[in-house]
Amino acid sequence: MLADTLSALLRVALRVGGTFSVIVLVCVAGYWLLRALAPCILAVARQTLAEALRMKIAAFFIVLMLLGFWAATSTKGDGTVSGQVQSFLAYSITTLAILLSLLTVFLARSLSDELVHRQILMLMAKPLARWQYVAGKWLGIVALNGAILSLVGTGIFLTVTLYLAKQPPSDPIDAERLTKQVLIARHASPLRVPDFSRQARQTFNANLEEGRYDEVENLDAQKEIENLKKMIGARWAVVPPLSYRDFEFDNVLCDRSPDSRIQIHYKAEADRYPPDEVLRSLWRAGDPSKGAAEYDFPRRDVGDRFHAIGVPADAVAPDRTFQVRFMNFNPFEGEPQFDSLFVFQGPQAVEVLFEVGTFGGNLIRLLLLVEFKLMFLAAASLMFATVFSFPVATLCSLTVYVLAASRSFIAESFDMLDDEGVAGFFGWSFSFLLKGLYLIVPNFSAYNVTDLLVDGRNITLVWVAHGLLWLVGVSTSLALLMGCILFQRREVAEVSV
Amino acid sequence: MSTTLPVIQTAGLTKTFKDFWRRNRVVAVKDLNLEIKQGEVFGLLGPNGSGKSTAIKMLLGLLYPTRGRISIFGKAPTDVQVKARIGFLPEDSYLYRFLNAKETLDYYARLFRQSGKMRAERIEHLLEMVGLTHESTRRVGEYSKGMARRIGLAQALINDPDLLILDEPTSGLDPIGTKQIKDVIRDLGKRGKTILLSSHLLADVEDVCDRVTILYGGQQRAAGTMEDLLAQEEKTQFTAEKLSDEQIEQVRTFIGKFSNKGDVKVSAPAEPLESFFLRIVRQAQTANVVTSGARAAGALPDFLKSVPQSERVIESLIHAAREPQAVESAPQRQAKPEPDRNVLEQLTAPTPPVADPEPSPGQAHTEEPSRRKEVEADRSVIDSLINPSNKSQDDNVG
Repeated sequence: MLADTLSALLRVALRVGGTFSVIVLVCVAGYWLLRALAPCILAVARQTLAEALRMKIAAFFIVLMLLGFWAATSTKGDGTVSGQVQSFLAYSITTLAILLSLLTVFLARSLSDELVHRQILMLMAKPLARWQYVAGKWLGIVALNGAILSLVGTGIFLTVTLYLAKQPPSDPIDAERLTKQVLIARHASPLRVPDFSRQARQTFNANLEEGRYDEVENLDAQKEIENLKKMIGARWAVVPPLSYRDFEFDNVLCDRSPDSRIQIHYKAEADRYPPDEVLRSLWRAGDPSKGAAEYDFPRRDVGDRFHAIGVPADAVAPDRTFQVRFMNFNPFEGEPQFDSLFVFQGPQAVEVLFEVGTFGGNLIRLLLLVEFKLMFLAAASLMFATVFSFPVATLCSLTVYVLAASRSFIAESFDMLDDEGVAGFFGWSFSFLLKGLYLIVPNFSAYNVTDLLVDGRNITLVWVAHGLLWLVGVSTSLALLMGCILFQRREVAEVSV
Repeated sequence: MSTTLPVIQTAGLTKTFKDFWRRNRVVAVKDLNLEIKQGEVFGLLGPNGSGKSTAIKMLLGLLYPTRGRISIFGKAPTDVQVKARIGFLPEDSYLYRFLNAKETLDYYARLFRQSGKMRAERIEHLLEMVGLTHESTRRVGEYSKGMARRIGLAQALINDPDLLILDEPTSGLDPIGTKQIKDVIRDLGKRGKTILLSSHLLADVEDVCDRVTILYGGQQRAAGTMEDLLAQEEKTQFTAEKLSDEQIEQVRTFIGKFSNKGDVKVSAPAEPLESFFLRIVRQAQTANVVTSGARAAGALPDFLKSVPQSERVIESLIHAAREPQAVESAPQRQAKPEPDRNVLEQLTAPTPPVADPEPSPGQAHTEEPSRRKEVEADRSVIDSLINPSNKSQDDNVG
C-alpha cells in the first residue's frame, strides 16, 4: 500500500517535474541575481516577511484558510467521490485565492505604516534607493504569497490524491470519472463549426428576390444577415429523429495508439423525453475514408447532462482530424423508437478531449496564475500605500481587486445601460470612466481557471505565459513603476496621518 | 581634493510647508547657510520648533527644500553613495517593535551591503558599546525609551560613518547614556569624523561641539566656535587649591584693587550633578546590583576607532614617503603609526582645540577668554532665544 502510494507520488513528481523545475530554477536564479546586484532589495523583502510572520498577520490568514479547507473536505458534492473531489477543489482554491488577496492588501499596508510610524526616516537615510525599497516590499509580499501557495497547494494535492481519491467510489462509472475526467489534464480540440455567413447571405438574397421583406427601403441588410446566421446555426445544432449530424475536429494531437483513449464529451438536450427519461442514440467515431478506425457506441443517457465516451485513439485520422457522427435513433433491439429532437447548444456541447498532462501539473499552473494576480494586487496596493495612509490605501486596493475580479461582469453590464436622456448620460459617463480604469486594471476573471482544473481540463502553458506577460509584464510593472515614481516624489518626513 | 570640500554645505536653504490648497502654511527654515568641514563637531541649537529637525531632514533628503541648495560630500543628499557614508539618529528611535536588538542592527547592516561576518562582528561590538549585549534577544518593543535610544545610536554607527547626524541624541537618555553619547561624539570627533548634532539642551552642545549655529523661527541667529560665542571678555576666573578664609580675604582684597565694580565672588566649586550621579551609579554597578535596563557600557568598538578613509590615504602617503620599501599596509584596527602630525593637520581639516576641563591639582589655572573673531550675537540674547526661562549663564560665573 505504502509502496504503491510512494511510487504513484514519484511518478506524479516526475511528470510535473518539468514545470516545477522551471519555477525552482527561476526562483533560485532570481535570488542569486538580486543577492549580487541589489542585496538591499532582499534585505527589505526579508524584513517584510519577518513582519508578516511576527505580527501574526500571515498566521491569522493561514488559520482562516485551514478552516476553509476543513469545511471544503466535508462537502459531498453530488454524493460521488469525483463530485466530492470537484467540490473540494472548487471551494479550497476559491478560498485560497480570496484570502491571499486580502492578505496581500493588508501586507502592503506596512509601507504606509512605516511612513506613519516613521521607521522610513531611518531607512531612507541608508543607502537604499526608493525604488529598491518599493521593490523589496513587493518582493517580500510576493515571496510570502508564493510560499503559502506552495504549502497550501501541496496540502490540496495530498488531500485529493491521498485522502479523497482513496474513498470507495459509489460505482465503476464514478471511479472512471475520477481518474479520466477529474484528476487529469485534458486538452479539448476545437469543433469545426461550418461558416454560416455564406449560407445566410444566400438565404437573404433569395428572400429579397422572392419579396419576403415588407419594407425593403428600411431594411438593415447586415442585421438581417446576422439574424439569419444565428437561425441557421441554431438549426444546425438540432438533430431531428432518424437523422444524423457529423461533428469534425481538427488538431487532435494525441497518441494514436488503439490502447490509449480520447473522449467525446457532450451534452444533449431534447424537446421531449421518453417515459423513462433516458435518451437513446448511437455515436459512430472515426472516418475510415481518412484511414481511421471506426467504432460504434450505442448510448442510453440522461438528458441535459454532460457525458463522456472513451474512444480508442486510432479513430483519429493520420492527418489529426477526427470525425464523429451522432445518429438520432434507438440502436437497442427490442426497444421502441422515440421521436425526440436532440439539440447540441453552444460550442462546448460536443468536444473531443484527450490527456495531455497530470492533475499535479495542472494545479501548479493554476497556482502560478493565482500568484500572477497576487503580484499585480501587491504592486497596486503598494502604489496606493506610497500615497495614502492605511485605511484609504487599503480601501483603494480592495476596490481595484473587486474591479479586476468582476471585470467581465461589469463589461457585460455596459450593454444594458440606458443610452437616452439623463440616464443615458450617466450611463455613458460611467462606462467611459470604467473603460478608462480598465486600461490599467487587468481582467482577473480571464485568468480564473478553477473551473478548468475541476473539470480535468488542461490549463495550458500558453495561458500561463499570457498571464505572465499581461498580469506581470504589463499590469504589475506599470503599477510598480507608478508606485516608485509617486514614492520618489514624496517627502517621506512629511507628517502622515 | 575632496578633503578640502566641506562635508555639508547649504546655500539659501529654505523650507516652507504648504497646506492642502498649496498655500504657504509655515516657513520652517529660511535662508540657512551652513558649511561644515571634515572633523568638525557642529551643533544646531535652537528651541523646539526652530527648524533644526527640518534642516536635518533636508540634509538627508527626507524633505525637499522649497528653495536653496544642499551638498553633502559634494553631492546631492538623495545620492545613495552619499548615504553610505552617513549615520543618522533621528529625534526618536523609530525601531521595529517586533525585532530584537540583534535583528534590528542586522537589518540596517544589510542595507549597507555588509558581509555576514562583518555584520556579526559589528553588531556584537556595538551592543557591547551601548551596554545591551544581555538584552540583545529581547524585542525592542519591550525596551525603555533610553534603551531604544541606545539601539538607535548603535544603528547610526553600524556603517562606521564619515558623517554622523544626531537629532536630539540625548533625548530620553539617563545621565549615563547622555555621558556615553557625549563621549562617543568626542571620540569620533577626535578621530576625524564629522558630526552634526542638533539639540535644545545647551549642556550637550556646549560639552562636545566645536562650532554651533543657533536657529530661531527657522532663521540663523548666531554662529561661531564655542570659544567665540561663550567667551566673556569683561570677566576673569581663577581656580586654585582650597584656601583658608584668611587667604581668601587677602585674595579678595588684592583683586578688589583691580576691579572697578567690586563684584569679586569667591566660593568652593561644586561637583557637577552629572559626575556625582555617575559616581553613584558606578558604585552600584561595581556591587553588581541587578537591573533589567542597560548596564555598564563598553568602549568604542575597534571598527569605529579606525581613521576615516581620506585620512588613511594621507597617512599611507606619508608612510610611503618615509618608508618606500614598505609593502604591507597596516590593518585598520592596529594602532595608528605615528605620522608627522604637522603634515597631517595641514592636509586635513583643522581640529579645533579641546579645552581641558579638569586642570591638574595644585596648578593654578587662569582662563583668558579668547578674542572674538566674529561675534554675531550677544550671549544674553542667545540665551534668551534658546530658552527664555533660563537664568542668564552670567549668574554662574565666579
